[in-house]
Amino acid sequence: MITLAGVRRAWNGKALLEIPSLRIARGVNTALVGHNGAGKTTLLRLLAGLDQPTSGRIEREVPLASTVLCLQKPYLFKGTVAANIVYGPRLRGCTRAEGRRIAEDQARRLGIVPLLNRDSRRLSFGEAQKVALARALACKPTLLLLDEPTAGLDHDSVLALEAEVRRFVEGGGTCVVATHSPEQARRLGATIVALENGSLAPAQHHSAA
Amino acid sequence: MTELQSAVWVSITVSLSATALCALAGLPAGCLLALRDFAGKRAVLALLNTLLALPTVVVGLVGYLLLCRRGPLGPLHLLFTPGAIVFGEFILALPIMVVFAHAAVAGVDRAARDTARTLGAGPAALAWTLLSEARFGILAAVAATFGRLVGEVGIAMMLGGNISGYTRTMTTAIALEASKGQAGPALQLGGVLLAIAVAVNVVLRVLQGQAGSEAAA
Repeated sequence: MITLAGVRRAWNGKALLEIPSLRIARGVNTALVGHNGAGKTTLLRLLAGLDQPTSGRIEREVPLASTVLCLQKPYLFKGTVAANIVYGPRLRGCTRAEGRRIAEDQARRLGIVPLLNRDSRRLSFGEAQKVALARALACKPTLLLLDEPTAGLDHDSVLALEAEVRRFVEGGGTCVVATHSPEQARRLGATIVALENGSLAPAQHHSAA
Repeated sequence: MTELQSAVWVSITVSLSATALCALAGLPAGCLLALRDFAGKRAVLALLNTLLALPTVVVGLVGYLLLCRRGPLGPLHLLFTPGAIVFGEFILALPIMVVFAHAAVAGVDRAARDTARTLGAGPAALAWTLLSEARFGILAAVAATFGRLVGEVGIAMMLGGNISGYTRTMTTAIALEASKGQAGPALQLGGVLLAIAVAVNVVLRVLQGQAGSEAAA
């Protein structure tokens, strides 16, 4: 689905990420595992097209428009939770009535129906995480990128969110999750890509297929 | 309509028109400046900041040279019409609007831009989203621009010509009445100007309060 070849991302001459080769396969869950500074967020931003590699190639078999990234610290736009969830669908031309239906559907799946009419700036961090995921899923992405999506969530919410991610992949989607936790990667049934100091860890296979 | 009422009406309509035109041109320009990096951007921002202190009589003089019969815009026959005052005030206030809009949009969390892009926003939708996120700052820019223009005197005098019932604004009427030794009408108009200044200030305070509480949320 996505192939990286000789990808290097540098900032002010310092290499943040160097990936000789990596393939993210369609329809699987891939977990980027590593400590802080390992390069997980840098890699996700490259996959999302928010940043460009300093050198190397990223070949995509799916259009960038069907790739959505949930940031580690979710940003919610001013307005209600419902308005946030339908942001993507509205950009794609859905009507108000369709938007309302989509917002209710996504909110039901993530257990945030009572939040729909709340001001998005008055949510806890965990609630904002769930709204951000609902907003991403409302875009019906082919490739979903999640940057530590369960940070700040309680245990039950973590399990609910992981179940939603598994459901997304079972439904044919492809997901790449950045996480500190190998246990979470296993719970998600994910292929693990270990990162260390901006590179693939030594024992790392070069394909997530 | 009395002469005083007419001056109030001309002042408000001319200032609102110039503010609206400045918003139409200045908000997209400020947004573009905040979103795009290009060679000479710092110089453009420095120039705009310099233009914030542009003396109104200089704008009036340049506007006069442009609009007078032998000037490049002479065929438009705008000189000594309300349109001429709007033209001059537009030149005066455009840098204010662009600088404020740039500051408001540049101040929006970088994550807002990334989020909008990853959710599928193209350049126009991205700009609209960021303007919306910075809306209190943008409204403050509009209010500040109107406040600056409604009390302006140099441009109104030089480009409007202070024609009674046509281009006479509150400020030019005050100058005229004072020169005639008529303190009463001048004070009345001064009171109206002061009331408008207080109203604009209250609006600004409310908007700043809302922006502050949103930032703290």
